[in-house]
Amino acid sequence: MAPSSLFTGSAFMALGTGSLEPISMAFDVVVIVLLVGLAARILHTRQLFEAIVLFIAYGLTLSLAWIRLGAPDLALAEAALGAGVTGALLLNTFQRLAERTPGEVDPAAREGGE
Amino acid sequence: MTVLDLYALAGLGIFVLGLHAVVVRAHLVWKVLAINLMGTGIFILLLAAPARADEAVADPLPQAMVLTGIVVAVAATALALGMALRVTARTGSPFLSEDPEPDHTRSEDEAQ
Amino acid sequence: MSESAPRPRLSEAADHALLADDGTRDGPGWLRGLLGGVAALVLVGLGWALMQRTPRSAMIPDLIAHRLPETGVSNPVTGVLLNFRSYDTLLEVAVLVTAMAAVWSLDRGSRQFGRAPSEMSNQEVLDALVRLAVPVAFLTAIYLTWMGSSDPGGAFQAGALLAGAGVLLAVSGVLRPPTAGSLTVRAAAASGVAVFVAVGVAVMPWTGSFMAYPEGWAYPLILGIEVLLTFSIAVVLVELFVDVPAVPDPDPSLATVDPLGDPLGRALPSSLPSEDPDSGQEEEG
Repeated sequence: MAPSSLFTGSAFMALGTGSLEPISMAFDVVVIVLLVGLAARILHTRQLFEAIVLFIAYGLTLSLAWIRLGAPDLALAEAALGAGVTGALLLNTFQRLAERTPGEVDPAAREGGE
Repeated sequence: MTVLDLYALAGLGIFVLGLHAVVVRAHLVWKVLAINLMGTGIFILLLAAPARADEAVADPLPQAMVLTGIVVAVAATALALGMALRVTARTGSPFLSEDPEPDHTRSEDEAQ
Repeated sequence: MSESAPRPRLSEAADHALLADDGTRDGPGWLRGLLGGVAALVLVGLGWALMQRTPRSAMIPDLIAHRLPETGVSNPVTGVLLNFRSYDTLLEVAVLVTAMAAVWSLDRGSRQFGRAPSEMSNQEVLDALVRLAVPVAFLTAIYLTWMGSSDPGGAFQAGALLAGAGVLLAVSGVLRPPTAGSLTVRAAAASGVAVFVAVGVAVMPWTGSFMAYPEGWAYPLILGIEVLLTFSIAVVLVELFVDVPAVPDPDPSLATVDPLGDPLGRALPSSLPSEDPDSGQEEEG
C-alpha cells in the first residue's frame, strides 16, 4: 500500500495557483462560466427535457471542476451519481410524465383513501 | 482574485440561483432540480472556500463530507421525484397547487 | 406497458402540458422581480462575507496526514470515510436504504417497468450496448473497490458504476425487476448496513468502543466492509431507479399489484398469471 503519487505529486499543486499558468487559469474560468451558465439555463428554461439534459451536462462539468479542485474521488462519484444516477432518475420521471394525459387523475389513487 | 475565489463565488452563485428558483418555479420537477443545484453549489463552496486560505494541501475532510452529501442528495432526489409523480397522479397536475385543498380530495376528507 | 397512452415522440413533448412550463403558474411578475432582487442582495452580502480573508490553520489536514498510517489505507479520503468518520458513512448508507423503503411506500404497486422486449424499438442497439458495457462496468467496479484504499476510488463510486450496469440490464429486459418488497432485494439492500453495524459491534470486546478497529485489523475490515457496501449500494440504486412510481392507472393485466390494499404491491394470490418474484431475478452486484 505505497502512498500513491496522486496525492503527493505536483499534479495537485496547481490547485489555486492559476496565476502560474495562464492556460490553466483560462481553463478554470471556462469551467466556472460553464457551471454558472448551465445552472442559470436549467433553472430558467421552460422545457423539461432541455432542463434534464442540461442537468446531466452540468453534472459532468462539475466532475471536471472537482478535478481542478484536487478531488478525484469526488470527480468519480459526481460523474457516476450526480450525472449518471440522478440523470437516469430524471429521465425516468420525464417518461412517466410524458406517458399520461394531462389532467387525468389516477382513480385508484383517488379512491384508495390514504 | 485567485481562481479559488472564483470557484467559491461560483458555488455561492449557483446556490442563490437555486434558492431563487425553488421559490419561484411552480413545477415540482423544477423544484427538485433547483434543490439539487443548491446542493452542488454548497459542495463547491465547501471545497473551494477552505482552500483559499491554505492552498497547498488537498484537504480530505471536506472531500469526504461532500462525497457523503452527493450520495444523500441522490437518495433524496429519488424520493422527491417519486413524490412529485405521486402528486401528479393524485391531482392531475405537476404544478404546486395554490389551492390549499384541491377539490377532489375534499370529499375524501369529509367522508372520513 | 399499459395501452392507455401511446408514447409521445420527443418533438411533441414541447406542447405537452406536463412537460413544459409556460410560466403562468409561477406567480405574479412583481413578486418574481422582488424575489430576484432579494436573491441578488443575498448573493452580494454573502459574497462580500466570503471574500473577507481570515487566517486558517492547517490543523485538520495535518492531523489527518499524520495519522493516516493508523487507518490502514493510504487514500486519505477513504481513511476519513471508513475510519475516522465511519459513523457518518454508516448513517449515509442507512439513509440510502431508508429512501428506498420510502419510495417503496409511494408505489401503489404499478409495476410498469418490465416491458416485453418485443415492444422496444431500439432493441439491437441496446443489446449491443449491454454486451459491451456491462462486463466492463463489472470489472471496473471491482477495480475501483479494490483500489479505493490507495488511489481514488472506493465503495460509493464502484457501487454507482454497478448500479449503472444494473440499470442497463433492467432497461434492456435482461433482468426482470422483482416486485417491490421482495425478500432478496431487502436482504441485499440491508446487507451493507448490517455488515457495517456487525463489524462495529464485533470489535467492541477488543477495543472497547463502537467501530474502533483493533491494531492491524483496520485494512482487512475496511476492505470487507467496502465490498459489501458496493454490492448493497448498487442494489439500492437500481431499486430506486426501477421503482419510480407510475403515473397512469395501474394496469390490471400486469398481474403484480393490489392497487387498493397492500402499499407494497405484493402480488394478488391466484387469479393472475404468476410472475415468480424470488427465483433468481435479483439485481446482482
